[in-house]
Amino acid sequence: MSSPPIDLVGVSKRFGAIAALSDLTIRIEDGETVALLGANGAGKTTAISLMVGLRRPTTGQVRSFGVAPADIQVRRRRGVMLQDCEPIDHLLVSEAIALFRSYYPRPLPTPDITRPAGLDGLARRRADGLSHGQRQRLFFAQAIAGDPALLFLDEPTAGMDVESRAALHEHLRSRATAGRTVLLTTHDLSEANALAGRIVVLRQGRAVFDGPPALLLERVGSHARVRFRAPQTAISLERLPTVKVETDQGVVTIHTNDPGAVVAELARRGVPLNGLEIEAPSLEDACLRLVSEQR
Amino acid sequence: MTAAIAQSLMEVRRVYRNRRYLLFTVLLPVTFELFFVALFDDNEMPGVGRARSYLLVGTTAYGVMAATLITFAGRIAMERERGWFSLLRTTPVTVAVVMGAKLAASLVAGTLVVVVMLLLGMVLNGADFLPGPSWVALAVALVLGAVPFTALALFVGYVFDADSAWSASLWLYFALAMIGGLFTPVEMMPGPLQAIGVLTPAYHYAKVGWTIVSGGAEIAPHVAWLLGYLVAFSVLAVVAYRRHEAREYS
Repeated sequence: MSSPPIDLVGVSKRFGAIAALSDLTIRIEDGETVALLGANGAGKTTAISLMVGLRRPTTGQVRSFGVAPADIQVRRRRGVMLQDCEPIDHLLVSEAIALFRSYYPRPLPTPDITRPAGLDGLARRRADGLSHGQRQRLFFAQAIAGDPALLFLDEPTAGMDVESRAALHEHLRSRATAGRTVLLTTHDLSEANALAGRIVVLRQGRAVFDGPPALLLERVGSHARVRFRAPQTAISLERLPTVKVETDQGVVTIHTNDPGAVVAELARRGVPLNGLEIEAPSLEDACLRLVSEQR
Repeated sequence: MTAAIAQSLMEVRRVYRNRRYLLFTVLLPVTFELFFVALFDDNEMPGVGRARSYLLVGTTAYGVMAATLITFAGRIAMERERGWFSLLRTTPVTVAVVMGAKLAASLVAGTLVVVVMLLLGMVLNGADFLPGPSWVALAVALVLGAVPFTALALFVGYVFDADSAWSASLWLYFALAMIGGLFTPVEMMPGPLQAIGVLTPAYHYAKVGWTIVSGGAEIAPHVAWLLGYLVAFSVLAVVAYRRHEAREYS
């Protein structure tokens, strides 16, 4: 059995008096797509810098494919997209991509890089003259140039337009199908939900959640909302699987973990369900709640 | 190997794409040469012989030092700050390849300065100003002799941030050129200044050229000085690099 692409055991990182990460243990297996979530300053970028070998942990151990993440063997199998990086000046987009291809033993063919990165029409443009969203696409192209088994993306879609984002998502899904490993950080929870089979939430340098998106919803008790208009009288809400019921000017809002059962039961009891709406639980709510919870 | 070639080509490409930078890098020594030739014509200068020989080597050396020392230092500091070096650290490319490519590119820029300046020297003084082999020897000496300045630039680029690396290397460059006798021969300087001047790398760098144009044979001691400086600056550069590593990537 091969060693996991990412393996953090009891990792802490201090910068002077500030604890950026505390006792972080994350093991990511081949083929997983993991989203790292958290507020600004929660430790996402520090965690990535440890995982790609730009920083060393104060205590604990960081391994990638069984060796140190700065090892040349790991660097050959990995692609990284960092935040706070500017494109190289006086170089064309095509040249920047060719440069990164030259670093790797078995790079992707150029069209397989430019297409998912949405750079097909931009090859002859100067890298330092790109818009913010286009730069992000170039950084993404550089990260996948080596056809990496392990891909790190720090806020990959920040500043991207809808089309580019869709192309990037499609590429990431195809990577996942091909058994490649992806770790991304994002502020966009729908993105995390759409792409990642596993979410790790950091708060103040600690992992406060690690599991599938559905479990995150369950854990923090986010629920669906069933909403309809009904006369205030004659509604029997007894023995329904509800969490909370609100009534406001004839609009009833029922918070529940089982919206199907609630609606079926209300219908059976003959309650008029005018303008029925069912709102899915929001990952955003769940995450906000998790991040803002007191210790 | 392919990465080393690609990286070097990339750095050279960035130099020649930067037309304005190239223009002024070449214009700087050309202007000095034209000005000083107009000022001194071809008078005998004490201790150095013909003024025109002295000036051609001095101004070319001055131009090459700008292309290597200042540009190299500024670029390293800037690319560190732009996160470019951090990104490269995560890729398979090695520090040696990254730095070697930068060195190659600054020597290409230096070569351009030398070629333009020697052509200018031929136009101003006639092609028979020097015997053919001496032109070639002079060109080689002026390019290779600049290598210690790239090591010095590496040191400056790792010690200072982008803004101060430009000004620190500009100061170093100007001080070295002045005291090293690129504008006024050290032989014409008062005793204490002369004593300092003959210790500088700029002096020994240009002195190799002056020896070639005056038909002298004593190049070896100056080459030895330059090698000594190369070793010393390389050690400083490695220390600065390690300190930076320890701070930035620990």
